[in-house]
Amino acid sequence: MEISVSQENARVPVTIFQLNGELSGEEPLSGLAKDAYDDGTRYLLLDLSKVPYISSSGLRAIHQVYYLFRGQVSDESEQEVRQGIISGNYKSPNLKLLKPSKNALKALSVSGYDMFLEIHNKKSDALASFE
Amino acid sequence: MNPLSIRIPEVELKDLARMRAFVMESTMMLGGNTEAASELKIAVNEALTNIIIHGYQGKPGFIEIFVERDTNDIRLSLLDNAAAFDPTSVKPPDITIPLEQRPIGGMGIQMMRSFTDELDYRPTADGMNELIFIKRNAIIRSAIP
Repeated sequence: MEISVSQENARVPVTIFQLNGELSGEEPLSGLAKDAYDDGTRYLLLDLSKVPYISSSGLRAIHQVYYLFRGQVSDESEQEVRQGIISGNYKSPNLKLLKPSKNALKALSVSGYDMFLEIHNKKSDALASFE
Repeated sequence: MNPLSIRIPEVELKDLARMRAFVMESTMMLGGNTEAASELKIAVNEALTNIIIHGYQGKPGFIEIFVERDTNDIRLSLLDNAAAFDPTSVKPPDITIPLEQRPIGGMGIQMMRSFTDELDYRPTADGMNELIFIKRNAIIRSAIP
């Protein structure tokens, strides 16, 4: 698994991780995401177009990144998140996914991750969705 | 045609790539389609990882993989001699629980179930674990002799 990193300025600055290869382990995704978060990144787009499949270890990495980018939230936004979760329409505003392959999408679906992470097929749409 | 097989006498995580390649190549050799081979590889990868990490826990042990054609289906079985464990007895996770409220991990058996059509477990007469994966209607052509 190789990951190349780039930046785009949308309404907010977005870091893009282009993943290349099987996402079948927690590293290097978790470590790179931690480094990016520590360097100030708050909006992350994972480009999965070159990932043929995601294993359960890869799902674990995405889950860790999801938690990481939740970061510190105020009591008020915590309440909003909880309300969104209860109503079934909460999706992470900080972590989004781009163009998963058929098998990667199936892994996200059978684990239920697709209910809580936005998945876009066009990069421009994905970038525009961060605010 | 006899099943195609591979045996890794002292299996380690570094052997996963070789075993995944074997599953893919043997399914194709038996006449299976690419989609079925890919899905079977994903399902079996989860089982292999579990056997190595949770079954053998760093101790030496073998894994043997058999792949065969059964009319229009592909049947793959894994043999190991780790402690008895039946993944089919594990309750499926509630995937509607938000990520916020879930522990990280625990999706391996769900992946095994979802990427194959049938998953069966049986302990063998000599005390080994046999896990059987079946991909239905996976055959698109004759086997390569």
